[in-house]
Amino acid sequence: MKPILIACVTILLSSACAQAQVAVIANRSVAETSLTPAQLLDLYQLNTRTWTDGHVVELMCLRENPDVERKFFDLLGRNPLELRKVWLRAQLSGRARPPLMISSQDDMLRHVASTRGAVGFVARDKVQGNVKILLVIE
Amino acid sequence: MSVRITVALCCFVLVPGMTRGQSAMDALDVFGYFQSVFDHSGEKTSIVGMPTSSGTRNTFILQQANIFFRKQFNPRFAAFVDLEFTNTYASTRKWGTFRLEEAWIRYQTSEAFSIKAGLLVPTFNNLNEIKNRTPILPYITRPFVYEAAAEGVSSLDDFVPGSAFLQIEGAFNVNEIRLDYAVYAGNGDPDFISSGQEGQRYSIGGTDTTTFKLIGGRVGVRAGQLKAGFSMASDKANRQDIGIGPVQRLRFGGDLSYQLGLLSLESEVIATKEYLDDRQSQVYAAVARLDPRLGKEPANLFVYGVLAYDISESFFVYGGWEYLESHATSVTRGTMAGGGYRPIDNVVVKCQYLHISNEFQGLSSYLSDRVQAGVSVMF
Repeated sequence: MKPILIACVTILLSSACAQAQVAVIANRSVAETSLTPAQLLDLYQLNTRTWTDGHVVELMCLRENPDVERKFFDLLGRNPLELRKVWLRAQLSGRARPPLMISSQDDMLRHVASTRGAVGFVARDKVQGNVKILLVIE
Repeated sequence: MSVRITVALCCFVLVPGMTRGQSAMDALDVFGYFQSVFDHSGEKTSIVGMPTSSGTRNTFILQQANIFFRKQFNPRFAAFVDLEFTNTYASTRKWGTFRLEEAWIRYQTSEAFSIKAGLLVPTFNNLNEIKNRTPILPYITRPFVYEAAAEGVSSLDDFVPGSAFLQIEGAFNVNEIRLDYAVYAGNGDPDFISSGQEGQRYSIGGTDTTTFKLIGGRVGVRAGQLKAGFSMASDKANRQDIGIGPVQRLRFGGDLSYQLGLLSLESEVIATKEYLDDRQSQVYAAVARLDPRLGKEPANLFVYGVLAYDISESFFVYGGWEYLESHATSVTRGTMAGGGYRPIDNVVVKCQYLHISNEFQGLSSYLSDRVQAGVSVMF
């Protein structure tokens, strides 16, 4: 009985951990194989606008998924409001295009999979094989 | 919940031209904003030897409307056009102004180097480039020297360069610090630019009639949530009206911004000075004796600071102070306080109280209290 109980608890915990993870995903055309949090912040602050192979970075941002968003912005160490101001300033001064806002994880996966140079984020357990994972946020 | 609301707000930066699967290079982005304001002002003017005059005024005004076009041709080339309308523009009634604020193309080789060519707003301090972007600004009436709607009253060009035609800019990281730079060149003071009016048969409107040019730049540093910079611009001011011709002018600026959680500070200082030679100084002093508005020396100082706090993702409040000293004779002070509310993603409802006082050599004074409410809409 005891081993079964332990197994159940382990499964439940691992499941919870898997749900809590957030994956930073990219289109398969992106040359990068991984990103550091600092590089990710540079992308979302619009400091870096091209990938190392010269292609334009197509930023995507998930909305209406508070748990996933909170983990993502916590990793960046930035208040979402701060980033919104950065995006607005960049857009209105003609410097860069702001991230495309996407309201569901399925849409995010579809957009990232179909857009060259795209990068976004979803819950780790949603990721399918048609995108690549650049960073996993625990 | 708060993150959800916050990120939902971000959708007002959505680009209308972008649809599923499109890349930035596929679409022409067309977007813009406007700010409509109700302004109640009470004013009191005192001049030595004359009775004090006072009055109040209530007015609606479409303070600002801008339409942008942006096209990313490829990773290296992008073009940007900004059309600007101010003060309830109507050409038939001669209200407000309409102008091509910006039209430039940018060639970027890397983050550290890009070049913009065409009509552009040069980088000077933090606010100059975005002084007219009302959706970003918490206030309705901008700091004195940046208020485009008051352009007919005071010249912005006395303090900050309004336009340039070539700018090289870039940024790079050094450990945890990000350094950025911008250098630019443009025409001389707008007073030297030909209007092409009737009678000037051999000059084309909008062309510079001088051989000297505007040059300037900014170096900036960003460390965490701290951002600071030093700016400088050199050109010549047109003093033909007092008979001394072009005068060397330098404009210096410093800016400091800091974000601490939901609290943010933005501040700037601008100092301008015109350098007269001996002959020019003598003429200036002689004319100034007849016209006290010229003051003791052709120099200006402007300082402002605004502290803003985001109460929530929807509400914010702010307070600010500004000081303007002109030609060592006129001192103008302003204090502002206000707040804003974002009912939906694209809309900011703002309110502002502004108190302005001006003293001119003990000869005159001006007091103004303004209460404003406005709405800034981005589309």
